[in-house]
Order: sequence, then structure tokens, then C-alpha cells
Amino acid sequence: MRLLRLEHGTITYFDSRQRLKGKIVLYPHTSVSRHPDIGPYRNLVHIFTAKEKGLIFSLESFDLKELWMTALVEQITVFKQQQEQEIDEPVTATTAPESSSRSLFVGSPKRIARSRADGRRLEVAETIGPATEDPTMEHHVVDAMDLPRISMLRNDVKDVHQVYDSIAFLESDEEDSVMDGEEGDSDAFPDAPPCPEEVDSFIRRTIISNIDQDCYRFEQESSVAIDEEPTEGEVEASTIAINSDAVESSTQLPESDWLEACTEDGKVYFYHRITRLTRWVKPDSRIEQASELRIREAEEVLERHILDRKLELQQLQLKTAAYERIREESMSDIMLRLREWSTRMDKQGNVYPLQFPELLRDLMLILPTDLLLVVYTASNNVTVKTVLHDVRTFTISTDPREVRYC
Amino acid sequence: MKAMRFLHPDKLPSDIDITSKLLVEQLFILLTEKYDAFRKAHDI
Repeated sequence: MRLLRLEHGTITYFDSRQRLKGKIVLYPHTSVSRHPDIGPYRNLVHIFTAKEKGLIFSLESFDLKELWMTALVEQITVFKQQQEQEIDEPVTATTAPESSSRSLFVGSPKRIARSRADGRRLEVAETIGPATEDPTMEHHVVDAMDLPRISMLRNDVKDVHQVYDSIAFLESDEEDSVMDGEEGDSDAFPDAPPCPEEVDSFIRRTIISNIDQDCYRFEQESSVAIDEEPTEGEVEASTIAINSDAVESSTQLPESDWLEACTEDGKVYFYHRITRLTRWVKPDSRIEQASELRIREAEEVLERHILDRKLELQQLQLKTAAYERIREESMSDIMLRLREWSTRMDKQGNVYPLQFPELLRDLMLILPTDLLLVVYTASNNVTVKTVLHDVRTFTISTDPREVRYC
Repeated sequence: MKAMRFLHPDKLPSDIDITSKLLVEQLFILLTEKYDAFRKAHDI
């Protein structure tokens, strides 16, 4: 048997009183096997009626579901016509279909086409495997065939658990007894989806009523706002309020930074005297005040920063001037001290410069006293202990061979 | 060489007076010149 994909689907029956009388539920082959009544069979169609627990038909090909649905509707129509002809005869729900005219056909499209070509009525659906031995798999005539109206909710995906609940509901004797009555309650399928037409009409009515309510509300509000003429007192009060606003605006105008100006075309616009922003409409007073406050705060911060920078610059200029002045005054003295420190005079009165090791040796003689903490000599080496950021001790060697390693 | 690094103008303390700073700067220049001459003389 060929297994194809099958989507959930539901066909609901309604009687002349718009009462729900039956369902046809299509099971996907992946979920049918979980149902205890259906068991391991797949590609089955479970048909519920108001008086029966259900009919199970096999499907060999479900990829052409539309074709199958069309054939099913045709059969339902035929049953309806037959019921009208045999209206005097009572219809029993549990009678097996002895004639092919009272049966449904569910099969391959080829068989449907062949049956149509032969002019024969569609045959009873086939069951497969152990289903023929199962008493629940007997072929039954669908009791709801006499219902005038058939509402097909194709491609209506339903939850599998909801379908199973409906099956359990139909299988209960109590519900069967309720549904066996000729005037069955429409609540026999409480979870049944409403007819699309009913849904559309309900939605349409709801929308229209909402629109009407809105229109009514709008008319009420507009009538209150338009139809009611203000009294003399209200006119005077509004005039006073307008005049007071004008006075306030006129008093605030000079304080505002938004100045009025005209374009070449004569259009009036406003510009901010500080930010140079332009607007066609003068900003609101509150927004303007807030923006003015922010601008003034920013200006104050900027002015404070500029003042600080100016003070720093003045201090730096003073420091530089003092440095230059001291440099001019003391540079000659410093150069004289360095020349005396870096030169020596021999016995003949000749002046000769000291070499680098000798200068390192006599370094403590020229260094400022505030940079030197301890100065002492030891044989050929001179150790100078200084203090700057911290106490440092280093050794100065006068030996030319050790200068590179100092 | 530690004395040379010690006398570098950038390594001097910030609170040193201007006169001492000028003296150390000139001293560093003089020692640098003498050190270059010493390296050339001894081929270091």
C-alpha cells in the first residue's frame, strides 16, 4: 500500500436548522497509528455522524485529496436525493450497505475515473489488512447524508488531541443517546469550528457595530464641540485668557533669544541669536526656556573653561618670563663655574681641560648640594649617593677601562 | 653612565630651582661632549 502525506481536514455537516450533525475527520498517517481504535492502520479516514461512532475507510492515494473530496460530496448529494425519494423509509444507521448506491468510495483517482466512465456508482470503500476483521471497520451508510447543507472546511488543520477528544466524545453512550434524537442539540460537537459564512457574518456584524459606535461617539463629541455656542461669559473669559497669553508672549519676546526676521520673499522666520538656528515657527516657550537654560549652562561651562585656560596660560607665561630672566642673569655665572670645574691649571700656568673620567670624578664638586646626599671617595672610585625621587646609589669609576661598564 | 642618566634634564625633579636646573642642563651638555670625545679617543 502506498502511503502518502495527508493533512488534517474536517468536514462538518449541518442540518436544515443549522445544527451540527456530523464530521469527517482526516487523519494524517503519522498520527493515526496512535489511536487505539484505529491501531496500526494508516491512511484512514474516520467519518463521524450523529448516530454512529464512525466509519473508517482506507485511502490508497491521498495526494489528490481534492478529487476525493469532490467524489465524497457527490456521494453525499446522491444520498440526499435518495433519502428524499425514500423519505417514508426510516434510515438505520448501523445497517451495512448492501447496495453500492449507499456507499462511499475512497480510492485511487484511476478507479474514480474508471467508475465515472463506466457510469457506475462509486463502490464501498475498501479496508485493508486486519481492518476487515475488525467489527468497527464495517461499512456503514453515513447517516448524515440527508442533511441539506454541507459545509466543508478544507485544509482546516486541527490538533490531533482535539480530534481524539471528539472521538472519545462520540464513543460515549451518553452522547450517542443524545445524538440519536431527531432534534439533536447543536452542542453535540462543542469544539466544532464555526461555519466560515457564520464567522464572516459575525465578523462583519462586529466590525459594522464597532464602526457605528465610533461614528456615534464621534458625532456626540463633535456635536458637543460644534453645536454648543459659547455664552457671553465664556467669550469674555476666553478673550481675557487670549489677551493674557498675548501679554505674556509680548513680555517674553524681548527676553527670548529667538529673533524675528524676514526672508527676501517677505516670509517671517525666527533665528536664534546664539546658535543661529532658523525656524519658520517660534518654538514653544517651555521648550525654548529649557533649551535656553541648557545653552546658558553650556556657555557658562565654556566660559569657565576658557577662564581657567587663560589663567594657566598667564601662569605659564610668568614662569617662562622668570625662567628667561633668571637664565639671562645666571647663565654667565653658570658657564663660568662650569669652565672652572672642567679645566685645570698646571704649574706653568697653562689651562687644560679635564677628560671625561676626571669630570666624573669631580662631579660632586659641581653638582648642587640639594641633589647630593652623601659623597665620599674610596681609592680610585667615587661613590655618589644622591637623593631625587628616591635614594639612589651609583659608582663612578675613573678607570678608562671600566667606564663602559659603569 | 648612571651619572649621565641621573643628570638628564628630563629626569630632574620638578621642584628643583631654576638655577640648579640650568646648571645641570649645561653640565649634561658638557659631559655629553666630553663623553663623545672620550669614546673617540679610546675607540669605544
